Amino acid sequence: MFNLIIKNFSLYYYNFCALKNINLKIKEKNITAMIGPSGCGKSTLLRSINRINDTIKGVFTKGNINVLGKNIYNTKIDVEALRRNVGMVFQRPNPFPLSIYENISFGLNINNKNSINIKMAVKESLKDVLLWDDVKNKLNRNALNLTLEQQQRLCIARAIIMKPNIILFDEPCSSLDPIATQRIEELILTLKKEYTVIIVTHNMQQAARISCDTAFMLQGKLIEFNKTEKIFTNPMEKETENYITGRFG
Amino acid sequence: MKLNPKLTQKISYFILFLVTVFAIIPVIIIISVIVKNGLPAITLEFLTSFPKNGIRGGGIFPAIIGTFAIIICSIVIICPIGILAAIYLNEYAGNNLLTKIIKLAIINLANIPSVVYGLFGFSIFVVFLRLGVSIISGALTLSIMELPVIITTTQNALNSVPSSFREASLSLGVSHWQTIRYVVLPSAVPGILTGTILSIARISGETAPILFTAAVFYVPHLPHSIFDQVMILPYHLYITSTNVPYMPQKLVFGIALVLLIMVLTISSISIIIRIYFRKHKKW
Ligand SMILES: Nc1ncnc2c1ncn2[C@@H]1O[C@H](COP(=O)(O)OP(=O)(O)OP(=O)(O)O)[C@@H](O)[C@H]1O
Ligand SMILES: [Mg+2]
Repeated sequence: MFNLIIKNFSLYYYNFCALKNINLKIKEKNITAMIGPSGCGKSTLLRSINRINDTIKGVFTKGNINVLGKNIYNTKIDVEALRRNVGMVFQRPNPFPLSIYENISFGLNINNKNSINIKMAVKESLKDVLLWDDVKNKLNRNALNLTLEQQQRLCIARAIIMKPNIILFDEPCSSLDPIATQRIEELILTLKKEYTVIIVTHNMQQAARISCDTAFMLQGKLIEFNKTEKIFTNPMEKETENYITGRFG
Repeated sequence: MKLNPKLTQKISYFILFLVTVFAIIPVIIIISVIVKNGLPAITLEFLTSFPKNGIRGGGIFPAIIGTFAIIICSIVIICPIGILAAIYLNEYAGNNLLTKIIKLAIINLANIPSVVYGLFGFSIFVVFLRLGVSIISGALTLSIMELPVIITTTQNALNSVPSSFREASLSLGVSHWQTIRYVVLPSAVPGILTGTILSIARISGETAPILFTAAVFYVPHLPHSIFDQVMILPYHLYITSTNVPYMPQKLVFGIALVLLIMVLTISSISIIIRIYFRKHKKW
Protein backbone atom coordinates (compact mmCIF):
# COMPACT_ATOMS: atom_id res chain seq x y z
CA MET A 1 0.00 0.00 0.00
CA PHE A 2 3.01 2.27 0.20
CA ASN A 3 4.67 2.31 -3.18
CA LEU A 4 7.18 4.98 -2.35
CA ILE A 5 9.26 4.90 0.80
CA ILE A 6 11.97 7.45 1.45
CA LYS A 7 14.42 6.39 4.15
CA ASN A 8 17.04 8.58 5.82
CA PHE A 9 17.52 10.39 2.57
CA SER A 10 19.95 13.31 2.36
CA LEU A 11 21.13 15.20 -0.71
CA TYR A 12 24.05 17.57 -1.20
CA TYR A 13 24.84 20.02 -3.97
CA TYR A 14 28.62 19.94 -3.55
CA ASN A 15 28.82 20.61 0.18
CA PHE A 16 25.49 22.35 0.56
CA CYS A 17 23.02 20.03 2.24
CA ALA A 18 19.70 20.55 0.44
CA LEU A 19 17.81 17.60 1.98
CA LYS A 20 18.40 16.52 5.53
CA ASN A 21 17.55 13.00 6.48
CA ILE A 22 14.09 12.79 4.97
CA ASN A 23 11.76 9.95 5.96
CA LEU A 24 8.47 9.63 4.17
CA LYS A 25 6.04 6.90 3.12
CA ILE A 26 3.68 7.67 0.31
CA LYS A 27 0.45 5.78 -0.27
CA GLU A 28 -0.45 4.45 -3.66
CA LYS A 29 -3.33 5.90 -5.70
CA ASN A 30 -3.32 8.95 -3.60
CA ILE A 31 -2.41 12.59 -4.01
CA THR A 32 0.36 13.84 -1.77
CA ALA A 33 1.21 17.52 -1.69
CA MET A 34 4.56 19.02 -0.76
CA ILE A 35 4.52 22.54 0.54
CA GLY A 36 7.06 24.85 2.05
CA PRO A 37 8.78 28.17 1.42
CA SER A 38 10.92 28.80 -1.63
CA GLY A 39 14.26 27.04 -1.50
CA CYS A 40 13.25 24.51 1.14
CA GLY A 41 14.05 21.59 -1.15
CA LYS A 42 10.67 20.50 -2.53
CA SER A 43 11.84 20.28 -6.10
CA THR A 44 15.07 18.63 -5.05
CA LEU A 45 13.16 15.90 -3.23
CA LEU A 46 10.76 15.41 -6.11
CA ARG A 47 13.61 15.23 -8.60
CA SER A 48 15.31 12.62 -6.45
CA ILE A 49 12.40 10.26 -6.91
CA ASN A 50 13.04 9.78 -10.63
CA ARG A 51 16.77 10.47 -10.33
CA ILE A 52 16.58 13.36 -12.76
CA ASN A 53 18.91 15.08 -10.30
CA ASP A 54 21.61 12.77 -11.59
CA THR A 55 22.07 15.14 -14.49
CA ILE A 56 23.10 17.98 -12.20
CA LYS A 57 26.76 18.40 -11.40
CA GLY A 58 27.88 18.01 -7.82
CA VAL A 59 24.86 16.08 -6.56
CA PHE A 60 25.61 13.50 -3.91
CA THR A 61 23.06 11.46 -1.97
CA LYS A 62 22.83 9.37 1.18
CA GLY A 63 20.09 7.00 2.30
CA ASN A 64 17.61 5.38 0.00
CA ILE A 65 14.35 5.73 -1.80
CA ASN A 66 12.27 2.63 -2.45
CA VAL A 67 9.97 2.63 -5.42
CA LEU A 68 7.77 -0.48 -5.58
CA GLY A 69 10.08 -2.19 -3.16
CA LYS A 70 13.35 -1.49 -4.94
CA ASN A 71 16.00 0.92 -3.76
CA ILE A 72 16.44 3.25 -6.70
CA TYR A 73 19.80 4.47 -5.43
CA ASN A 74 21.21 1.00 -5.81
CA THR A 75 23.92 1.18 -8.44
CA LYS A 76 22.47 -1.75 -10.34
CA ILE A 77 19.10 -0.15 -10.91
CA ASP A 78 17.98 0.52 -14.49
CA VAL A 79 17.47 4.28 -14.33
CA GLU A 80 15.60 4.42 -17.63
CA ALA A 81 13.14 1.78 -16.45
CA LEU A 82 12.70 3.71 -13.22
CA ARG A 83 11.90 6.89 -15.14
CA ARG A 84 9.34 5.05 -17.24
CA ASN A 85 7.76 4.02 -13.98
CA VAL A 86 7.90 7.46 -12.40
CA GLY A 87 6.65 10.15 -14.76
CA MET A 88 7.26 13.85 -14.29
CA VAL A 89 5.48 17.06 -15.21
CA PHE A 90 7.46 20.26 -14.92
CA GLN A 91 6.81 23.78 -13.78
CA ARG A 92 6.82 25.31 -17.23
CA PRO A 93 5.11 23.25 -19.90
CA ASN A 94 7.98 21.86 -21.93
CA PRO A 95 6.72 20.19 -25.08
CA PHE A 96 9.36 19.29 -27.63
CA PRO A 97 9.40 21.51 -30.72
CA LEU A 98 7.65 18.70 -32.58
CA SER A 99 4.11 17.93 -33.62
CA ILE A 100 1.46 17.07 -31.04
CA TYR A 101 1.50 13.46 -32.15
CA GLU A 102 5.28 13.19 -32.05
CA ASN A 103 5.31 14.71 -28.58
CA ILE A 104 2.90 12.23 -27.11
CA SER A 105 4.38 9.21 -28.84
CA PHE A 106 7.97 10.25 -28.13
CA GLY A 107 8.66 7.94 -25.20
CA LEU A 108 6.85 4.96 -26.71
CA ASN A 109 8.42 5.40 -30.12
CA ILE A 110 11.89 5.24 -28.76
CA ASN A 111 11.31 2.36 -26.38
CA ASN A 112 8.49 0.37 -27.83
CA LYS A 113 9.21 -2.98 -26.25
CA ASN A 114 5.77 -4.56 -26.23
CA SER A 115 4.81 -3.28 -29.69
CA ILE A 116 1.87 -1.34 -28.33
CA ASN A 117 -0.37 0.23 -30.93
CA ILE A 118 1.02 3.72 -30.69
CA LYS A 119 -1.82 5.48 -32.50
CA MET A 120 -4.36 4.03 -30.09
CA ALA A 121 -2.19 4.85 -27.11
CA VAL A 122 -1.82 8.46 -28.22
CA LYS A 123 -5.55 8.78 -28.61
CA GLU A 124 -6.19 7.22 -25.21
CA SER A 125 -3.82 9.42 -23.34
CA LEU A 126 -5.06 12.55 -25.10
CA LYS A 127 -8.57 11.54 -24.06
CA ASP A 128 -7.42 10.97 -20.50
CA VAL A 129 -6.20 14.55 -20.27
CA LEU A 130 -9.30 15.88 -22.06
CA LEU A 131 -7.31 17.24 -24.94
CA TRP A 132 -8.46 14.86 -27.66
CA ASP A 133 -11.43 16.90 -28.85
CA ASP A 134 -9.32 20.05 -29.10
CA VAL A 135 -6.50 18.54 -31.10
CA LYS A 136 -7.82 15.49 -32.92
CA ASN A 137 -7.82 17.36 -36.23
CA LYS A 138 -4.40 18.91 -35.83
CA LEU A 139 -2.20 16.17 -34.47
CA ASN A 140 0.48 17.16 -36.97
CA ARG A 141 0.66 20.76 -35.83
CA ASN A 142 3.58 21.97 -33.78
CA ALA A 143 2.79 21.50 -30.10
CA LEU A 144 4.26 24.90 -29.29
CA ASN A 145 1.27 26.52 -31.00
CA LEU A 146 -1.06 25.29 -28.25
CA THR A 147 -2.09 27.46 -25.32
CA LEU A 148 -0.07 27.04 -22.15
CA GLU A 149 -2.85 25.08 -20.52
CA GLN A 150 -3.09 22.77 -23.51
CA GLN A 151 0.68 22.41 -23.50
CA GLN A 152 0.62 21.37 -19.87
CA ARG A 153 -2.14 18.85 -20.63
CA LEU A 154 -0.01 17.56 -23.45
CA CYS A 155 2.93 17.15 -21.09
CA ILE A 156 0.71 15.17 -18.74
CA ALA A 157 -0.47 13.01 -21.63
CA ARG A 158 3.13 12.50 -22.68
CA ALA A 159 3.90 11.24 -19.19
CA ILE A 160 0.88 8.96 -18.74
CA ILE A 161 1.28 7.23 -22.08
CA MET A 162 4.26 5.48 -20.50
CA LYS A 163 1.82 3.94 -17.96
CA PRO A 164 3.87 5.00 -14.95
CA ASN A 165 3.01 4.08 -11.40
CA ILE A 166 3.85 7.42 -9.92
CA ILE A 167 3.56 10.86 -11.46
CA LEU A 168 5.53 13.77 -10.04
CA PHE A 169 4.21 17.30 -10.56
CA ASP A 170 6.53 20.22 -9.85
CA GLU A 171 4.29 23.28 -9.49
CA PRO A 172 2.36 22.32 -12.63
CA CYS A 173 0.08 25.34 -12.52
CA SER A 174 2.48 28.10 -11.66
CA SER A 175 2.58 29.43 -15.20
CA LEU A 176 -1.17 29.18 -15.75
CA ASP A 177 -4.04 31.57 -15.11
CA PRO A 178 -6.57 30.79 -12.36
CA ILE A 179 -9.15 29.21 -14.66
CA ALA A 180 -6.58 26.97 -16.34
CA THR A 181 -5.21 26.16 -12.90
CA GLN A 182 -8.60 24.98 -11.75
CA ARG A 183 -9.05 22.80 -14.80
CA ILE A 184 -5.61 21.23 -14.43
CA GLU A 185 -6.40 20.56 -10.78
CA GLU A 186 -9.57 18.76 -11.81
CA LEU A 187 -7.51 16.70 -14.20
CA ILE A 188 -4.98 15.80 -11.53
CA LEU A 189 -7.82 14.71 -9.26
CA THR A 190 -9.02 12.26 -11.89
CA LEU A 191 -5.50 10.82 -12.22
CA LYS A 192 -5.61 9.61 -8.64
CA LYS A 193 -7.75 6.65 -9.72
CA GLU A 194 -4.86 5.12 -11.58
CA TYR A 195 -1.68 6.78 -10.41
CA THR A 196 0.13 7.78 -7.29
CA VAL A 197 0.44 11.53 -7.56
CA ILE A 198 2.96 13.73 -5.78
CA ILE A 199 2.57 17.43 -6.33
CA VAL A 200 4.80 20.28 -5.24
CA THR A 201 2.94 23.51 -4.87
CA HIS A 202 3.35 27.02 -3.58
CA ASN A 203 -0.33 27.44 -3.46
CA MET A 204 -1.73 26.25 -0.14
CA GLN A 205 -5.33 26.37 -1.31
CA GLN A 206 -4.32 24.08 -4.09
CA ALA A 207 -2.76 21.62 -1.68
CA ALA A 208 -5.85 21.78 0.48
CA ARG A 209 -8.19 21.30 -2.46
CA ILE A 210 -6.65 18.31 -4.14
CA SER A 211 -4.37 16.37 -1.81
CA CYS A 212 -5.10 13.74 0.80
CA ASP A 213 -1.74 13.94 2.51
CA THR A 214 0.56 16.90 2.84
CA ALA A 215 4.23 17.15 3.64
CA PHE A 216 5.57 20.42 4.98
CA MET A 217 9.26 21.11 4.44
CA LEU A 218 11.54 23.79 5.77
CA GLN A 219 15.22 24.34 5.02
CA GLY A 220 15.79 20.85 3.73
CA LYS A 221 13.96 19.13 6.56
CA LEU A 222 10.63 17.40 6.55
CA ILE A 223 8.85 19.12 9.40
CA GLU A 224 5.50 17.44 9.31
CA PHE A 225 3.67 14.86 7.25
CA ASN A 226 0.03 14.17 7.84
CA LYS A 227 -3.49 14.12 6.45
CA THR A 228 -4.00 17.36 4.55
CA GLU A 229 -7.02 18.21 6.68
CA LYS A 230 -4.96 17.82 9.82
CA ILE A 231 -2.09 19.94 8.50
CA PHE A 232 -4.40 22.78 7.60
CA THR A 233 -6.70 22.73 10.61
CA ASN A 234 -4.66 21.38 13.45
CA PRO A 235 -0.94 21.09 12.71
CA MET A 236 1.29 19.43 15.28
CA GLU A 237 4.33 21.60 14.75
CA LYS A 238 4.68 25.28 15.47
CA GLU A 239 6.59 25.88 12.22
CA THR A 240 3.80 24.33 10.17
CA GLU A 241 1.27 26.50 11.85
CA ASN A 242 3.34 29.63 11.26
CA TYR A 243 3.65 28.76 7.60
CA ILE A 244 0.04 27.95 6.88
CA THR A 245 -1.22 30.95 8.77
CA GLY A 246 1.04 33.01 6.55
CA ARG A 247 3.47 34.23 9.15
CA PHE A 248 6.37 33.53 6.79
CA GLY A 249 7.08 31.99 3.44
CA MET B 1 28.14 72.72 -16.49
CA LYS B 2 25.34 70.40 -17.35
CA LEU B 3 24.71 69.55 -20.99
CA ASN B 4 21.23 69.22 -22.32
CA PRO B 5 20.55 65.44 -22.28
CA LYS B 6 18.79 65.60 -25.65
CA LEU B 7 21.83 67.25 -27.15
CA THR B 8 24.33 64.80 -25.65
CA GLN B 9 22.17 62.00 -26.93
CA LYS B 10 22.27 63.43 -30.44
CA ILE B 11 26.01 63.96 -30.28
CA SER B 12 26.72 60.43 -29.09
CA TYR B 13 24.47 58.98 -31.77
CA PHE B 14 26.32 60.99 -34.34
CA ILE B 15 29.73 59.83 -33.09
CA LEU B 16 28.65 56.20 -33.06
CA PHE B 17 27.25 56.58 -36.55
CA LEU B 18 30.50 58.12 -37.77
CA VAL B 19 32.62 55.36 -36.29
CA THR B 20 30.42 52.75 -37.93
CA VAL B 21 30.77 54.47 -41.27
CA PHE B 22 34.54 54.49 -40.91
CA ALA B 23 34.48 50.82 -40.14
CA ILE B 24 32.56 49.88 -43.27
CA ILE B 25 34.14 52.32 -45.72
CA PRO B 26 37.21 50.12 -46.38
CA VAL B 27 35.00 47.13 -47.03
CA ILE B 28 32.93 49.10 -49.51
CA ILE B 29 36.05 50.42 -51.24
CA ILE B 30 37.61 46.97 -51.52
CA ILE B 31 34.47 45.42 -52.89
CA SER B 32 33.85 48.19 -55.38
CA VAL B 33 37.45 48.20 -56.66
CA ILE B 34 37.35 44.44 -57.16
CA VAL B 35 33.96 44.52 -58.81
CA LYS B 36 34.83 47.46 -61.05
CA ASN B 37 38.12 45.96 -62.26
CA GLY B 38 37.12 42.33 -62.20
CA LEU B 39 33.69 42.41 -63.76
CA PRO B 40 34.94 42.91 -67.35
CA ALA B 41 36.98 39.71 -67.03
CA ILE B 42 34.04 37.55 -66.03
CA THR B 43 32.81 35.69 -69.08
CA LEU B 44 31.53 32.21 -69.56
CA GLU B 45 34.85 31.33 -71.13
CA PHE B 46 36.77 32.69 -68.16
CA LEU B 47 34.79 30.48 -65.82
CA THR B 48 34.79 27.32 -67.90
CA SER B 49 38.11 27.06 -69.70
CA PHE B 50 41.72 26.25 -68.87
CA PRO B 51 44.41 28.92 -68.64
CA LYS B 52 46.29 29.81 -71.83
CA ASN B 53 49.56 31.56 -72.72
CA GLY B 54 51.36 30.52 -69.55
CA ILE B 55 48.23 31.42 -67.53
CA ARG B 56 48.24 34.98 -68.83
CA GLY B 57 44.98 34.28 -70.61
CA GLY B 58 42.16 31.82 -70.86
CA GLY B 59 40.08 30.84 -67.86
CA ILE B 60 40.25 29.58 -64.33
CA PHE B 61 38.08 26.50 -64.57
CA PRO B 62 40.58 24.07 -62.98
CA ALA B 63 41.15 26.44 -60.06
CA ILE B 64 37.42 26.65 -59.40
CA ILE B 65 37.07 22.87 -59.54
CA GLY B 66 40.17 22.45 -57.35
CA THR B 67 38.78 24.82 -54.75
CA PHE B 68 35.49 22.94 -54.63
CA ALA B 69 37.31 19.62 -54.41
CA ILE B 70 39.32 20.80 -51.42
CA ILE B 71 36.26 22.30 -49.74
CA ILE B 72 34.16 19.17 -50.17
CA CYS B 73 36.98 16.95 -49.01
CA SER B 74 37.47 19.15 -45.93
CA ILE B 75 33.75 19.04 -45.11
CA VAL B 76 33.77 15.26 -45.27
CA ILE B 77 36.67 15.13 -42.83
CA ILE B 78 35.76 17.95 -40.53
CA CYS B 79 32.01 17.60 -39.95
CA PRO B 80 31.87 14.14 -38.41
CA ILE B 81 35.01 14.60 -36.34
CA GLY B 82 34.17 18.12 -35.18
CA ILE B 83 30.56 17.36 -34.31
CA LEU B 84 31.29 14.07 -32.56
CA ALA B 85 34.13 15.64 -30.58
CA ALA B 86 31.85 18.48 -29.53
CA ILE B 87 29.17 16.02 -28.44
CA TYR B 88 31.69 14.08 -26.42
CA LEU B 89 33.15 17.16 -24.75
CA ASN B 90 29.79 18.68 -24.03
CA GLU B 91 27.71 15.70 -23.03
CA TYR B 92 30.00 12.98 -21.80
CA ALA B 93 33.41 14.25 -20.76
CA GLY B 94 33.71 14.80 -17.06
CA ASN B 95 35.40 17.85 -15.72
CA ASN B 96 38.78 16.26 -15.12
CA LEU B 97 42.28 17.41 -15.92
CA LEU B 98 42.32 15.71 -19.31
CA THR B 99 39.20 17.45 -20.58
CA LYS B 100 40.48 20.76 -19.20
CA ILE B 101 43.68 20.29 -21.18
CA ILE B 102 41.69 19.38 -24.29
CA LYS B 103 39.52 22.46 -23.92
CA LEU B 104 42.55 24.68 -23.39
CA ALA B 105 44.23 23.17 -26.44
CA ILE B 106 41.15 23.82 -28.54
CA ILE B 107 41.08 27.47 -27.55
CA ASN B 108 44.78 27.90 -28.25
CA LEU B 109 44.77 25.99 -31.52
CA ALA B 110 42.33 28.54 -32.84
CA ASN B 111 44.92 31.29 -32.39
CA ILE B 112 47.78 29.69 -34.32
CA PRO B 113 48.61 31.57 -37.53
CA SER B 114 47.47 29.65 -40.58
CA VAL B 115 50.91 29.52 -42.14
CA VAL B 116 52.04 27.40 -39.21
CA TYR B 117 49.30 24.93 -40.08
CA GLY B 118 50.60 25.00 -43.63
CA LEU B 119 54.10 24.00 -42.53
CA PHE B 120 52.72 21.43 -40.14
CA GLY B 121 50.56 19.91 -42.88
CA PHE B 122 53.52 19.85 -45.22
CA SER B 123 55.77 18.00 -42.82
CA ILE B 124 53.11 15.57 -41.56
CA PHE B 125 50.84 14.82 -44.50
CA VAL B 126 52.97 15.61 -47.51
CA VAL B 127 56.33 14.34 -46.29
CA PHE B 128 55.86 12.01 -43.36
CA LEU B 129 52.66 10.25 -44.44
CA ARG B 130 53.78 10.50 -48.08
CA LEU B 131 50.44 11.81 -49.28
CA GLY B 132 52.36 14.24 -51.45
CA VAL B 133 51.12 17.63 -52.51
CA SER B 134 47.50 16.65 -53.00
CA ILE B 135 43.88 17.46 -52.37
CA ILE B 136 43.84 15.15 -49.38
CA SER B 137 46.91 16.75 -47.78
CA GLY B 138 45.41 20.19 -48.24
CA ALA B 139 42.01 19.15 -46.94
CA LEU B 140 43.55 17.49 -43.88
CA THR B 141 45.57 20.60 -43.14
CA LEU B 142 42.54 22.87 -43.48
CA SER B 143 40.51 20.47 -41.34
CA ILE B 144 43.03 20.52 -38.54
CA MET B 145 43.07 24.27 -38.69
CA GLU B 146 39.30 24.63 -38.62
CA LEU B 147 38.50 21.81 -36.22
CA PRO B 148 38.76 23.93 -33.05
CA VAL B 149 36.34 26.45 -34.54
CA ILE B 150 33.81 23.78 -35.53
CA ILE B 151 34.06 22.15 -32.12
CA THR B 152 33.49 25.44 -30.36
CA THR B 153 30.54 26.51 -32.48
CA THR B 154 28.97 23.06 -32.17
CA GLN B 155 29.38 23.16 -28.41
CA ASN B 156 27.69 26.54 -28.32
CA ALA B 157 24.84 25.18 -30.41
CA LEU B 158 24.45 22.18 -28.09
CA ASN B 159 24.51 24.41 -25.03
CA SER B 160 21.81 26.66 -26.41
CA VAL B 161 19.28 23.80 -26.47
CA PRO B 162 17.02 24.46 -23.46
CA SER B 163 17.70 22.04 -20.63
CA SER B 164 13.95 21.60 -20.24
CA PHE B 165 14.00 19.56 -23.47
CA ARG B 166 16.64 17.24 -22.11
CA GLU B 167 14.80 16.84 -18.83
CA ALA B 168 11.51 16.14 -20.58
CA SER B 169 13.15 13.43 -22.62
CA LEU B 170 15.10 11.86 -19.76
CA SER B 171 12.00 11.87 -17.57
CA LEU B 172 10.29 9.63 -20.13
CA GLY B 173 12.91 6.95 -19.61
CA VAL B 174 14.76 7.87 -22.77
CA SER B 175 18.48 7.22 -22.43
CA HIS B 176 21.14 9.89 -22.45
CA TRP B 177 22.35 8.97 -25.93
CA GLN B 178 18.82 8.78 -27.33
CA THR B 179 18.12 12.16 -25.80
CA ILE B 180 21.14 13.60 -27.57
CA ARG B 181 20.20 11.88 -30.79
CA TYR B 182 16.48 12.70 -30.88
CA VAL B 183 16.18 15.90 -28.86
CA VAL B 184 19.42 17.80 -28.50
CA LEU B 185 20.92 17.33 -31.96
CA PRO B 186 17.79 18.17 -33.95
CA SER B 187 17.37 21.37 -31.97
CA ALA B 188 21.03 22.22 -32.38
CA VAL B 189 21.13 21.62 -36.13
CA PRO B 190 20.60 25.25 -37.17
CA GLY B 191 23.47 26.42 -34.98
CA ILE B 192 25.74 23.62 -36.09
CA LEU B 193 24.86 24.23 -39.72
CA THR B 194 25.51 27.96 -39.67
CA GLY B 195 28.76 27.52 -37.77
CA THR B 196 29.95 24.88 -40.20
CA ILE B 197 29.08 26.89 -43.26
CA LEU B 198 30.86 29.97 -41.90
CA SER B 199 33.92 27.80 -41.33
CA ILE B 200 33.72 26.60 -44.90
CA ALA B 201 33.56 30.19 -46.11
CA ARG B 202 36.64 30.90 -44.06
CA ILE B 203 38.70 27.98 -45.29
CA SER B 204 37.74 28.50 -48.90
CA GLY B 205 39.62 31.79 -48.85
CA GLU B 206 42.68 30.50 -47.01
CA THR B 207 45.97 30.41 -48.89
CA ALA B 208 48.71 29.64 -46.39
CA PRO B 209 47.62 26.13 -45.32
CA ILE B 210 47.31 24.89 -48.90
CA LEU B 211 50.35 26.71 -50.19
CA PHE B 212 52.71 23.80 -49.53
CA THR B 213 50.19 20.99 -49.21
CA ALA B 214 47.82 21.00 -52.17
CA ALA B 215 48.22 23.85 -54.57
CA VAL B 216 50.34 24.03 -57.67
CA PHE B 217 50.95 26.68 -60.26
CA TYR B 218 49.42 24.87 -63.18
CA VAL B 219 47.91 21.47 -63.93
CA PRO B 220 46.85 20.77 -67.49
CA HIS B 221 43.96 18.54 -66.45
CA LEU B 222 41.32 18.29 -63.75
CA PRO B 223 42.13 16.20 -60.65
CA HIS B 224 41.45 12.49 -61.09
CA SER B 225 41.50 11.57 -57.41
CA ILE B 226 42.08 13.09 -54.01
CA PHE B 227 45.76 12.26 -54.35
CA ASP B 228 46.25 14.70 -57.23
CA GLN B 229 47.65 18.18 -56.94
CA VAL B 230 45.28 20.95 -57.91
CA MET B 231 45.01 24.57 -58.83
CA ILE B 232 43.13 26.57 -56.22
CA LEU B 233 41.63 30.04 -56.47
CA PRO B 234 43.33 31.81 -53.55
CA TYR B 235 46.71 30.41 -54.57
CA HIS B 236 46.04 31.18 -58.20
CA LEU B 237 45.28 34.75 -57.21
CA TYR B 238 48.47 34.97 -55.19
CA ILE B 239 50.60 33.55 -57.99
CA THR B 240 49.11 35.64 -60.76
CA SER B 241 49.33 38.85 -58.82
CA THR B 242 52.92 38.40 -57.68
CA ASN B 243 54.80 35.88 -59.79
CA VAL B 244 53.62 36.25 -63.35
CA PRO B 245 55.18 39.10 -65.32
CA TYR B 246 52.89 40.92 -67.74
CA MET B 247 49.80 39.34 -66.20
CA PRO B 248 46.74 41.29 -67.42
CA GLN B 249 45.35 43.06 -64.32
CA LYS B 250 41.84 42.52 -65.54
CA LEU B 251 42.26 38.76 -65.09
CA VAL B 252 43.76 39.12 -61.63
CA PHE B 253 40.79 41.14 -60.49
CA GLY B 254 38.53 38.66 -62.21
CA ILE B 255 39.98 35.88 -60.07
CA ALA B 256 39.61 38.02 -56.96
CA LEU B 257 36.00 38.71 -57.84
CA VAL B 258 35.17 35.04 -58.35
CA LEU B 259 36.78 34.20 -55.02
CA LEU B 260 34.93 37.02 -53.31
CA ILE B 261 31.60 35.97 -54.75
CA MET B 262 32.22 32.39 -53.69
CA VAL B 263 33.04 33.28 -50.09
CA LEU B 264 30.19 35.78 -49.82
CA THR B 265 27.74 33.28 -51.27
CA ILE B 266 28.71 30.64 -48.75
CA SER B 267 28.45 33.14 -45.87
CA SER B 268 25.08 34.37 -47.03
CA ILE B 269 23.76 30.81 -47.19
CA SER B 270 24.63 30.53 -43.53
CA ILE B 271 22.93 33.84 -42.76
CA ILE B 272 19.82 32.78 -44.67
CA ILE B 273 19.67 29.51 -42.77
CA ARG B 274 20.01 31.37 -39.49
CA ILE B 275 17.23 33.80 -40.37
CA TYR B 276 15.01 30.98 -41.54
CA PHE B 277 15.41 28.99 -38.34
CA ARG B 278 15.08 32.03 -36.13
CA LYS B 279 11.75 32.76 -37.75
CA HIS B 280 10.53 29.21 -37.31
CA LYS B 281 11.96 28.60 -33.88
CA LYS B 282 9.35 28.75 -31.18
CA TRP B 283 11.15 28.33 -27.91
N1 LIG C 1 21.71 22.83 -9.11
C1 LIG C 1 21.87 23.32 -7.86
N2 LIG C 1 23.10 23.58 -7.39
C2 LIG C 1 23.26 24.07 -6.15
N3 LIG C 1 22.26 24.34 -5.30
C3 LIG C 1 21.01 24.11 -5.71
C4 LIG C 1 20.74 23.59 -7.02
N4 LIG C 1 19.40 23.46 -7.16
C5 LIG C 1 18.87 23.88 -5.99
N5 LIG C 1 19.82 24.27 -5.12
C6 LIG C 1 19.59 24.75 -3.75
O1 LIG C 1 18.92 23.77 -3.03
C7 LIG C 1 17.91 24.34 -2.23
C8 LIG C 1 16.59 23.69 -2.54
O2 LIG C 1 16.21 24.03 -3.86
P1 LIG C 1 14.85 23.54 -4.48
O3 LIG C 1 14.84 23.99 -5.89
O4 LIG C 1 14.67 22.11 -4.23
O5 LIG C 1 13.80 24.37 -3.65
P2 LIG C 1 12.24 24.47 -3.83
O6 LIG C 1 11.64 24.16 -2.51
O7 LIG C 1 11.77 23.69 -4.97
O8 LIG C 1 12.05 26.01 -4.11
P3 LIG C 1 10.99 26.73 -5.06
O9 LIG C 1 9.73 26.76 -4.29
O10 LIG C 1 11.56 28.09 -5.24
O11 LIG C 1 10.89 25.95 -6.31
C9 LIG C 1 17.93 25.83 -2.50
O12 LIG C 1 18.61 26.45 -1.43
C10 LIG C 1 18.70 25.96 -3.78
O13 LIG C 1 19.45 27.15 -3.73
MG1 LIG D 1 10.93 24.17 -6.93
